[in-house]
Amino acid sequence: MGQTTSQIPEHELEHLSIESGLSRGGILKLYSRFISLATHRDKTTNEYFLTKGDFQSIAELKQNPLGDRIIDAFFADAEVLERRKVYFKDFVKVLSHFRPINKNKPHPWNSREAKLRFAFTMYDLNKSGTITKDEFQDILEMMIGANVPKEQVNSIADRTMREADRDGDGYITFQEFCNAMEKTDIEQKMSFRFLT
Amino acid sequence: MLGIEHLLFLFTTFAFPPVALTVLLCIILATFGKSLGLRQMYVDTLIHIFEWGARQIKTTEKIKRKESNVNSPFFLNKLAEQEFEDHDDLRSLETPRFEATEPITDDELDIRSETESHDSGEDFPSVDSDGDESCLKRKFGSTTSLASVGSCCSLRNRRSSESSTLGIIKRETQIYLDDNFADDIPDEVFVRSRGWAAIRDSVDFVKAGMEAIIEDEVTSRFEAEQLVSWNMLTRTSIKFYQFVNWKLSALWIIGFLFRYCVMFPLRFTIFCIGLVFLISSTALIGLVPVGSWKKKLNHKCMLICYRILSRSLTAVVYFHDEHYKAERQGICVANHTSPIDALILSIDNVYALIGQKHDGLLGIVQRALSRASSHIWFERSEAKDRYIVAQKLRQHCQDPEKLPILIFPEGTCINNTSVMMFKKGSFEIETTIYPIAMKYDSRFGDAFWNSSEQSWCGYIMRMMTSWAIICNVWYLPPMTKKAGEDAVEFANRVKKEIANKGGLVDLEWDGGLKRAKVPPKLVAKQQERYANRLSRYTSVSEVVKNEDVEVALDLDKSVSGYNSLEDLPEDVFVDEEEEDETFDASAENIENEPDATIKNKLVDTASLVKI
Repeated sequence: MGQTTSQIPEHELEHLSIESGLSRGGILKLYSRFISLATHRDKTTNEYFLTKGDFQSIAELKQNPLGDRIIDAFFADAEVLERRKVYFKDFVKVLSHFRPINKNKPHPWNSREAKLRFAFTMYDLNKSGTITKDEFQDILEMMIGANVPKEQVNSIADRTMREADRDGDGYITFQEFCNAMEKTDIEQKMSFRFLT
Repeated sequence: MLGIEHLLFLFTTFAFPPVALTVLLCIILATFGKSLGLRQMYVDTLIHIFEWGARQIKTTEKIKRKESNVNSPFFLNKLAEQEFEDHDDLRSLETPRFEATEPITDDELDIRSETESHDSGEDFPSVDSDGDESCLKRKFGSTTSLASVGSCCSLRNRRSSESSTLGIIKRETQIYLDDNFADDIPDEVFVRSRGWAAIRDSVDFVKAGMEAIIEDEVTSRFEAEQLVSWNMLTRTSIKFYQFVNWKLSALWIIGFLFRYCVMFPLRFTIFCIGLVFLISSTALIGLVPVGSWKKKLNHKCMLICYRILSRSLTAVVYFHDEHYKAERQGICVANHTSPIDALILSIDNVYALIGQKHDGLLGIVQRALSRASSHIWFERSEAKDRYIVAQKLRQHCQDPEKLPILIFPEGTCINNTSVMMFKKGSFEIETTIYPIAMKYDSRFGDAFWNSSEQSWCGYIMRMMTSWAIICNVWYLPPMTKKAGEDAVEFANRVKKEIANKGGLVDLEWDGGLKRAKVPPKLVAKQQERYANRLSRYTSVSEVVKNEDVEVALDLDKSVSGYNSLEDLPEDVFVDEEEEDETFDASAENIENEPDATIKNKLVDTASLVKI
């Protein structure tokens, strides 16, 4: 562990803590995880950053059928996509969507709507703002692989779209998505149990 | 300068007798295998010092927080968070890791109760001071008794290592490799209504993936363990502040000087002496003709050698259950943490080693060892040919004159919090297996070697400048392959025993993932498992004809059942006529459905619909 010398500057720690709602201890732990995953360092600012390759070196993530979609979520922000580097603050921002919702301390990043929006971007592959049947079918195929014949996947995708698409225009907008997920306990499904 | 020379001279004359005396004492004790208990006392003193240090850190942290929080508006909330943190530190210490795999329903309750305690910040100040002391007692209390540091150490460490992760999140969703998991899909699957199920499952996958990014089982095994409290070595202070207290810094400086200026030279001298003794004694033994004399001599000399070498690292090793030690030929398997594993195990018993031929110093040692007794060293090119290696192993095991072989089936160094997949090669041979569990106490020096981060020399330096290497070794009863068991199952059985005894987590992952990428067949396996799961609540099987396709589509609606009528979305009543029709159609089709489970579900949900 020869990387003990790089600590986050104090003001940035404070800033990140307020922005993300995590405690300082939590941010420090996340930081140590971040630098253990990062293999590159920016020469000018001396900051560590993650690339797609770094994400893919996590065995459990690679094995996850939706692994690539999750990695894309980290690069969803236009700026991040352009430079193809995920710095620590981008990392924290994405992960803090998964902070449990505390009704007494609402926070813009971990509200129910924000979580749903995050899930929405998982399906909206081309970032058009709507989910088409093809996009949805792609996701299903990723999860099931070749084990189910294509017509079946097609029909499942078809049926699911029909359910959610209230106005029948063939696209699922964010609103329709939210309505369809009304009964789901998104707060629990998309929250970590942070120990700090 | 004259002055300096004189000083140096004076220093050496004063220093020489104590140094020489210590070294001599060490060697003599090692020869007879006795111990004065000095190392024990040393370890106990260190524990006291660490405790004191930990208290210092806690109190200064508290003071700092109180000072900063008086000014900030988030006073109560931050203090509450601090308590939350302490509480969970404890909980993560005490609770075994397996809790992370419970079904989701239990965790729901836990989350709610925790967020409630999170807000009760009012009675914080009074709880804190007591809670703090008791928290420390629980962490260290059991080990201050001089009586049996060894066994207490082991018990406490076993519990802590069972949950020793980065401690950022409590993992709730994990994707498992073994297929048995598919059988205990909870019934709540059926609560989900009508086809949107796939989306919900995908959210589960997303969550599992996100959790893996923060903390996954594999990557964390290849890094040194995170310590609960600081042990005065900067190498472990990622979590702790660099500067806390004048007292602590002074202690650290004293510790540093002690380790580098006193311990290191002593250890290095002893190490050199041990090495020289090894090479010369094996050369002598090599001259003796093969027979029982040679064996006995070898036995004695090897033990002495390794004892000397282990003292050079200040290794304090506790052996348990010695009656299960390997006496006759067979294969001894143990979990692998560092290159000195073989050294530590050889203090108590003589083994035959197996490994690749090296050059340099290690090569010299290997050749020396081979003179005294037979070990298996194979060429790098042969290493790839498993058949040759297996042949050699088999030959060695069948010879009653030879020593038991020591093998580390994981194939690579793991950080001693878990046991990874055992390679099946050594379990294919028909012989007794003697499992050994090893658990290091990393408070005094982490023996784990991260070969991608450190070189061999760097590692040895680190070992020699740590406080001590403490290890618990448990000998387990010998095991043999049962009839009808194949090598992989046998390997897993042995692995489970070792993991249980040592308090390590039993993982299915391959240690080779340290260097290699995940093979695509693992992803395919996940997909297959999900497809199986999906087929339980969608009729994915046996749809061939066109008419049946439509019927099957509607069959889905009734199969993805409802828990109660309240769950039905409104438009179900519109569809109900449709469903009545399809139910009749499906009654006819039941003979066509070979899958019995789907048939049963149809019947069950049909009774609900009929209401």
